[in-house]
Amino acid sequence: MAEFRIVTRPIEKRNTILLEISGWVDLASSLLWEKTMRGYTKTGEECMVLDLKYMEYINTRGLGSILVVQKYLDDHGGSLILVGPTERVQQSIEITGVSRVIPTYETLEEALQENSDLKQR
Amino acid sequence: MSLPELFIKIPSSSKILHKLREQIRKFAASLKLSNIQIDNVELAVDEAVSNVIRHAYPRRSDGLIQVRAWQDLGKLVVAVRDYGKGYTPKPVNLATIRKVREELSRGGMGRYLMKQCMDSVQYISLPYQYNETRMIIKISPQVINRPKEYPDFSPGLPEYSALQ
Repeated sequence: MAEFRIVTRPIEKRNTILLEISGWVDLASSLLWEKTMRGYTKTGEECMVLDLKYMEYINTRGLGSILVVQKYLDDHGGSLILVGPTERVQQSIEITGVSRVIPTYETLEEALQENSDLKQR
Repeated sequence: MSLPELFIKIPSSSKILHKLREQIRKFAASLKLSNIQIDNVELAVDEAVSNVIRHAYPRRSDGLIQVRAWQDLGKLVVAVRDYGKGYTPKPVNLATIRKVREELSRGGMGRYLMKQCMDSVQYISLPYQYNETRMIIKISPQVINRPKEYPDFSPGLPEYSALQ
């Protein structure tokens, strides 16, 4: 049984996929997490928004997978941003330096406002 | 009155990690750590045990892992011990964004994260005996008598061997 759950939410941005993530990612689920996240890069959307407000926990391997996906999107002219992490998740993001690599916003509105250039085609 | 202590024996299976995290959180909360400190302890213990599963008992889910936590002179001490293969922790370089990517991608950030979360992290590997990661975080400055069975940690072998 997967400890995390990913739900695709509608977003008023073209070429962008919004994924709402809940649960946790640890060593037990990290391989499935990476596989699933890589799968979303095949949807054809260039930009990815990860809504983390329901995410309870993520370890360093889980964050590593997010960086792998971000690198892939970046290399293909896209982008990845993080939205609404809980304090617990935000702490991991900051300590590991992921916040230096991936923009993180408190709300989706703020993220969309700051990233109005998110591939509006 | 006995001092609060947590002692858990678990197999080297990642499926049990979430239950361990719950236990550690409860124990840390019982010692009145702040929410941030509780999160830090949880993260550090999860990473320490994950390292044991990956490095000390590769491809095994029946290796013994002992997690012991106790309060000691205003500090929370957590020791994660295994009887598998020891390893040499590699230094982490986060100087550039590229390095952050590389370190996280190769799964080498656990130890770094532990050090960021806790006030002290020490690792000792005694060949054919055990490996132990001992982590310490300061809590409220109350004076507490130290239990005799848990001597001060020192990287020096003689004191440490008293733990056996």
